[in-house]
Amino acid sequence: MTGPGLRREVRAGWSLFRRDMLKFRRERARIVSSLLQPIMFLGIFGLGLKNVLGGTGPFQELDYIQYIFPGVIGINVLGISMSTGVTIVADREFGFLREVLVAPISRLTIALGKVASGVATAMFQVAILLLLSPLLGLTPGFVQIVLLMSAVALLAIATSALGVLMASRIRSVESFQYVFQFMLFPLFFLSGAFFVLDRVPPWIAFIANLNPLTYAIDLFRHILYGDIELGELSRSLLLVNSPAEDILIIAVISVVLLSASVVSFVRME
Amino acid sequence: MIEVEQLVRRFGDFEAVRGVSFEVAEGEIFGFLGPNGAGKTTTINMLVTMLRPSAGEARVAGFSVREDPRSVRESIGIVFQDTTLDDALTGWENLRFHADVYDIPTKLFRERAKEVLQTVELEGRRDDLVRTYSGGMKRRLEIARGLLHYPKVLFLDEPTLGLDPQSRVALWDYIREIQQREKITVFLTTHYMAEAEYCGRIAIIDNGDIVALDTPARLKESVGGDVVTLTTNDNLQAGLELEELRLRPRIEDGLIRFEAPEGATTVANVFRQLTPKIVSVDLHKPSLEDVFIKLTGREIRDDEASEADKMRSQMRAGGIIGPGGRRMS
Repeated sequence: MTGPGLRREVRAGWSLFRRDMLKFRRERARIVSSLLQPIMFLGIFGLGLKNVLGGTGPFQELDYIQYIFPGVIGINVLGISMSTGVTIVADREFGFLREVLVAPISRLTIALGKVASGVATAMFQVAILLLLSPLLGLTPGFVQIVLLMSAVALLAIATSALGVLMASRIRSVESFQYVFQFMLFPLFFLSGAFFVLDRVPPWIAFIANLNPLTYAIDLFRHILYGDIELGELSRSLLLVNSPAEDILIIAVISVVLLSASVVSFVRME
Repeated sequence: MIEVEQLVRRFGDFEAVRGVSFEVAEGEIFGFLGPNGAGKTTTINMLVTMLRPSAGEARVAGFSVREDPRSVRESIGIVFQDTTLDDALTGWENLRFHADVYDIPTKLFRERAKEVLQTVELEGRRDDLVRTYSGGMKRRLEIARGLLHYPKVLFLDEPTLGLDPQSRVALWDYIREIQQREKITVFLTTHYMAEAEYCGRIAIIDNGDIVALDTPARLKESVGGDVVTLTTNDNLQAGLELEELRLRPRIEDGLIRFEAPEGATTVANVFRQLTPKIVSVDLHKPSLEDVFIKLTGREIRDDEASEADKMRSQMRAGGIIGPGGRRMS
């Protein structure tokens, strides 16, 4: 693909992205409901379990609600960006996908445009969630916010690509949602989002180690707990890997999922 | 403008299109006429590069659908059987999206979009969500969108399916007006006989094969005169007597059918000579329906598709439960 060809593809990809943003803006109900879910998590788990777990182990130094906040961000990113896949399946059901597929543009462009939409929506939602952070006693500065947003984008590439990959294989919105729900649950709970993974059985640890969310949430914690004084023991329990390890692993997962989703989307009938 | 040679498409063991060949000249309105399941949509999908041929070759606007699908795509506009609009966007936004993926310069797009919307009389609704459009309006918008990038060939797959009679007639007015003004080649499929009459030439397709290809007038001539249908109180006897008159009758579903060059005179003669009592008689100039019956021994019945049509038109109107319980709005 040379000069003018590339410019065409960029324009087409941009128009796919713009369409998603336009629709996202019009669907206020979707924005509100996808924000209610993390708030519910914070409320129910955060406040509910705070009294059970509060004052034990690392939670002597860190509020439990502060502990789950990075996890809630991670889960929100996962949920939103993967539902980008739903928009592809819905476009297929309602016919619009044919308009896209028969256009003189590359399938690669279509897949990347969709991933970009997933990343942007996820970043938007996280930006709103961050407004809650002062209520939880976390006060990220400008640099922390920029770092966190970059980490969110990195994770969202992996999860949006997963959504596109699923969409290229699944024909109906119902099946997509079914598979999505099925995957969501283990990804949520086996990620260190809600509890420290130091005393879990090996098989849970194994799954958690394959879960990109585990590393993303660890990375979010590194970024968000910058100002909090933590003892050596708490540190080792709350922050499992180094930030560099986290970034490297998420990046590798992103590249793998992105390649797989593009290949699968290009081959789709 | 379109050259098709021995085009074949198989789905597993089933041969949907069995080696069709034809050519469509520039500026022609060419129709594919046949019953549902004859292979019309499969053929169109191969021509627009959405489906790879199993064998054979097709060239559209000079480009091979196998070797250079992208150039084919750039040269064609398509209106599929089922709507491919985004109904959560406005008419204008749907057109703008199209302009982006077909890389129409923005300034040109604005002029052209106004022009095509004017042609299909939708300028007044351009900023309304497509969701609020009627079935006919959606079709018109799709045609406008298909024309936006100045295609050389416009493909229309069952363009009037699911529309009410008035919208159908209006749509044909648009299609002919566009074809004349833009000097565009139009390739369409239909199972409505009346619509095929609007085409310059028609290929009649049955079971994946072209059984006849000519102008509507000449196809009708090929029937061999006026079409006479009789019922009598003894069809068998009547058939034998008509045979003696060298009228070559065929008895189908309790009806006797034959063709005669001078229908009216022949019928008068038959009335005088036939011994069984004639119960009813019908005499008409041959229609494309008669051509189809003559070629295949079967009727294309418009009502065959009526259930599917109703469903489609309701789906276009929005808000019903479709097959499999999916929400279709």
